[in-house]
Amino acid sequence: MKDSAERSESEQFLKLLHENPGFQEIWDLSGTVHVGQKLSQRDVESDLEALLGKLGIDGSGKTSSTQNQSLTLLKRPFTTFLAAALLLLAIGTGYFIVPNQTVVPYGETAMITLPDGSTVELNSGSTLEYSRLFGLLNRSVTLNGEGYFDVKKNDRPFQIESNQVFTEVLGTSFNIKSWNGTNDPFTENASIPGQTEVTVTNGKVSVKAGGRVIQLEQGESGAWNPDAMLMSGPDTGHLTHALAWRNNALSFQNERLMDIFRTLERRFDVKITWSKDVEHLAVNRMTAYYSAPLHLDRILKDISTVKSLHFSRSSEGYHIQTGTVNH
Amino acid sequence: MVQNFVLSDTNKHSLDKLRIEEIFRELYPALVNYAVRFVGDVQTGKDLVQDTFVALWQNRNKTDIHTGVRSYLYKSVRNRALNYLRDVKSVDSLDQKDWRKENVIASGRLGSGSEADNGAEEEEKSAGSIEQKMKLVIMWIQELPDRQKEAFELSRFDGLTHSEIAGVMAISEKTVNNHLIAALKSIKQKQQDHFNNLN
Repeated sequence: MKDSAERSESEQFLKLLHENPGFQEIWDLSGTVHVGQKLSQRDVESDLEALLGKLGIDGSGKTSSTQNQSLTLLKRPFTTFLAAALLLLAIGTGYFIVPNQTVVPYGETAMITLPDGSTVELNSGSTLEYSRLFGLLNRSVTLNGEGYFDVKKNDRPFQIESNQVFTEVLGTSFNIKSWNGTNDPFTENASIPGQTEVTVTNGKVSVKAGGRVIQLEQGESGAWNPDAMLMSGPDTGHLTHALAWRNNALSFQNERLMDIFRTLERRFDVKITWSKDVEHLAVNRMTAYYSAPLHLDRILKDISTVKSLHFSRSSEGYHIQTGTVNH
Repeated sequence: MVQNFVLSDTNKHSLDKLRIEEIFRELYPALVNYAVRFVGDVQTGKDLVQDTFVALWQNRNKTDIHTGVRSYLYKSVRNRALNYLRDVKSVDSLDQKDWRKENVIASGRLGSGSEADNGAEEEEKSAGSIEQKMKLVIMWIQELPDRQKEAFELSRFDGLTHSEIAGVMAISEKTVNNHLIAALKSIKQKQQDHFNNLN
């Protein structure tokens, strides 16, 4: 009862925004500004340390991790033997060569638990693959798309391959965004890798691509741009942006329209097509934030207003064309 | 003995060290900004937020952190800030408020500002006017009545939902709606006046 009343309140509000372009513009403008102090990552970490000191829980983490380490060292000879035995078996049967694959449909997200207890939250349209030998010789997975990893600590490094970028960790949590060119409106070519972004929420990770390596720590992000063969980072301050998708928010930070539309296609399970005369706008950039978007129409309307475009419903989904609005 | 302590520590409390670190990293900067919007200076804001986290930890068994840690934290920062203001109220509150207004505007950073360099070529034509529009909107938000301003900022700057704002400000969701609509109307009016003056 209370719930439905509340829902109708915010829906009424959305409707009001929708009906008043002037309101909508103010709403969106004020949602994309950042007002106030920007604390550096160092400030946050030193304040966190101060807090943990006050709470008296400073040292307990260290005690438990040394214990874990000695336990895993004891287990090692046996698992190595087991791995060798299973490998022989695998060669015999061929079973282990076929990888486990998870494909998340458009419009949905998924949470999977790997055999070592690590978990991965996958965004719409992502694919995660791992060998059936996962965890025995190494821990490696292949990702195309976006996932938030919470990796259980053990002595085998955890490695993620995403469009020729290798991210390696021991035990930590972080977000990887790495889409290939499959849905590119003009180059329909899956072998073209897109930009890969790694954002760390906890622990340390190393990211390798094109012969370059960077180390990222808590709160830092790094990105590999395959076109420019450029590794950037460590940068700070992208945490909320990078993790927005986990809270059903949509956050675009100076992103190309083509990438924004791909994200919208996956999120809302629709097809967005472009008319030839606006192709040049695909690389145009935009910043926007939606905390809980319900209707794609509203978002497309915003983008169309800002970029002087016009959209209409098509048989497959939506069609974007030049901005001579005739209504 | 140490082992027992570690085990019982992690089993007993749903809010453990790792979780509190995660929450802190995620929300601390936003909460400090929120506190600064009330009290006007960063060090006081930081102290209030630290106290809030200490209280969260001390009450971790009583607090249902799974369902609304964000609104819980905003609400307790707000209470602490209001108490603080009540206690120092006698000390020239007017001056403080003016200072605070300036401070917010001076440090206001446009969301797209830092990236403006990369996308400069594409944005060349519109960037100036959008940036100008944003600056004006920030200024007009600062001129709103306190309650409207607070609801509007929680929604737009902090990304809180209607129901989270209702919880934080201890008002009904309908009132949140009314505040937001009133804020939009008043900003729109200021915008119109501004453009009429230009022409």
